Amino acid sequence: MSIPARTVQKSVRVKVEAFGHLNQLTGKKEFEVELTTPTVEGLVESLSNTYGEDFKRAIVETSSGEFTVLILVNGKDIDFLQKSKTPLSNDDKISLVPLVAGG
Amino acid sequence: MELNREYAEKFIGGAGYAARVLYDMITPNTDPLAPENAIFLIAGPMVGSAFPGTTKWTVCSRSPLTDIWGESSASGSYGAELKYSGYDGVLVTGRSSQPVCITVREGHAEIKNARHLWGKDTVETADAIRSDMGEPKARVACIGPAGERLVRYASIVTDEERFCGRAGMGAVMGSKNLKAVAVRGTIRLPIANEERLRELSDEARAAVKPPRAPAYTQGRVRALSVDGTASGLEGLEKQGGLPIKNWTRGSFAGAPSISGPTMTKTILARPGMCPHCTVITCWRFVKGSDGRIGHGPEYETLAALGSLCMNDSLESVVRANDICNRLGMDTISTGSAIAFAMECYEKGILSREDVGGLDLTWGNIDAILKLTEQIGLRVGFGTVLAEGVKRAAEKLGKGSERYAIHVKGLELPMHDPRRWWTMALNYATSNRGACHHQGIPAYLEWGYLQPEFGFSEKLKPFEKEGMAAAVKFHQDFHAAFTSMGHCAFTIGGVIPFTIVTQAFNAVTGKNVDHWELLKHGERIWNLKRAFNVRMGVTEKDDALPRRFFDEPLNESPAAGKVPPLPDMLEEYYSIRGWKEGKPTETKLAELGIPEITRGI
Repeated sequence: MSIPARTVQKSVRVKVEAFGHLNQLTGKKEFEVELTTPTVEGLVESLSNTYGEDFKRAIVETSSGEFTVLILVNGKDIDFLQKSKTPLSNDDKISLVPLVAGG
Repeated sequence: MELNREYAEKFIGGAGYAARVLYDMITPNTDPLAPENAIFLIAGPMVGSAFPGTTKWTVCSRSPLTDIWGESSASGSYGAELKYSGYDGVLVTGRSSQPVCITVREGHAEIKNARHLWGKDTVETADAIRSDMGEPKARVACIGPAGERLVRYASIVTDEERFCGRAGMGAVMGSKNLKAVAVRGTIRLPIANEERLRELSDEARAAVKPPRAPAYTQGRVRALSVDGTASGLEGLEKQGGLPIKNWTRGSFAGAPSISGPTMTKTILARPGMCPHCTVITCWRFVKGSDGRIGHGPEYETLAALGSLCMNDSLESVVRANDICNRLGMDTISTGSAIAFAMECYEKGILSREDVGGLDLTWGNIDAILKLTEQIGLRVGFGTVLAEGVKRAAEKLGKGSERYAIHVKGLELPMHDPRRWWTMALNYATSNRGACHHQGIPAYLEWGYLQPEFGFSEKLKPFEKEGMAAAVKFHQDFHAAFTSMGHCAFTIGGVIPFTIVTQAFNAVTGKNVDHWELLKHGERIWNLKRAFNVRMGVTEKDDALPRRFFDEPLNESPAAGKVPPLPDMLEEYYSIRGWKEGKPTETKLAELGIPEITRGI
């Protein structure tokens, strides 16, 4: 009798920095997250599960699923990578940045 | 004077209208600080209408800082009160032999003695004028001691602590011995279709909220409302867009200390917003170290008096901001002048003796506060810096010009052009010198889009493709909505301009579309450029300081990048229909202003 092969989901550990009002929702500016779905989309889902609906509403536009803040992976804008499908690897640094200025 | 209806048709109102009037009044021989110069305080057709974001009023003149087109606008209640007093604007020429103020009340204007106000700061002045008028609800636009002493970047301050900061409009008032223009009235603004305007106001408010607002609008409204304009300061630093150490560095460890969120957590007394806005609570009122609650520093101020001078003390920026506001001077130019002096000190061009014994080491809070006050009062070394960095460098010599960061004499606002290349072209070509209010095309790099004008995709950073067109669009767009009386925060990527256009029609009774308004903006932009050409501006002046080409940032995502300005300029002139930096006869005729060709 053969033993069925187990599906092993490989997880990655990434660093997150949340700027502006986002770190008021996370309670900290820099932290690490373990992801089983190693994409930007997976990260946002994971953070929303951890920090709740307020966080999700602050970062995702609910009807389109588009992000309301600038998201950088290792300093690069995901809009010029693969957007929400951008893959993440161990030790990647993801920055969540509300980008405004003026006055 | 009666409204010139032809000018109103062609130039909308506000700054556009003022530009056409002043084009005939100001010549190349008009010294900005002489009686012959004219100054126009004016509010566009939307101001006072209660449509969200329609509070911008503008002051226009020939700038004593740049010697070219000068313009500065502010929000708050002043513009609407000016309209309710019975006038669209106040145009002043000449010079009084003694200090005066102008009061406009219920359709009646008076010039009154203001000797007792001379020397008072802007807060004391506004309080005294309201008391003298017996009108607690009067709105006051006044100068402080900096304007009286002709600091070339003196501001005009309103009593809600909103500021016409840039280009030295306060010095022009000071040169006329004009301390203030106070307005009060209850005259109803004629609205062509009030019911339609109310519907459109509701539509505008709905359009900036879920579920209708696009993601970028929701993000922008939330960030500005929660932490004000400095909400993104840390993010800008991470992006390499925050100016640091007189534009020489790409990172600053002190950024979190002077950010909007830190201000919210530590000293915020309350947020605020303009009347009828209900879209964004972008104002900050903060508690100073003396316990007094006053206007909190905006992003531009936190960068100029903070990171630009390597100062990470929020408390000191709040104090310096308060000094600027009370003495009446622009915080961007003040911070830039101090950073210039600090770099000259570091490079040995200035000695401690030269600067009255101050230690101008980077980040020295005591020196920053003392210099701020000295500039506003024109005492000590402040006398040199009160002239602006261009003139200060000309006076100091010894290669200090390299550290004087300005375009056409106006110190740069706080957005690094090596990081946002659209801003490089915008600074180089803006009609009042380096400017973030006559177009801020970086919005299109940040993703604050204008799909109604075809800008539906974020511009790719560090690629010149499409940037010249984006800059031209943003400049024309700003020229249009500023002249209408709109603020940039509620329009750039926020309220769709199609709704704003319908509101404009409801107020004025016109029937234009948003493209037609953009064309008006282009006409206004060309008119101001023609004004500048008459004042001697050539394509050689459409430049950036050498630093932005010779000294790329060595940290940050912008490391090693420099903007390809010559290429972008060539494309820009071509798109504008200009030859050698001048609007051509063909272009001016196409825009319906062939008469403007004279003198250029």
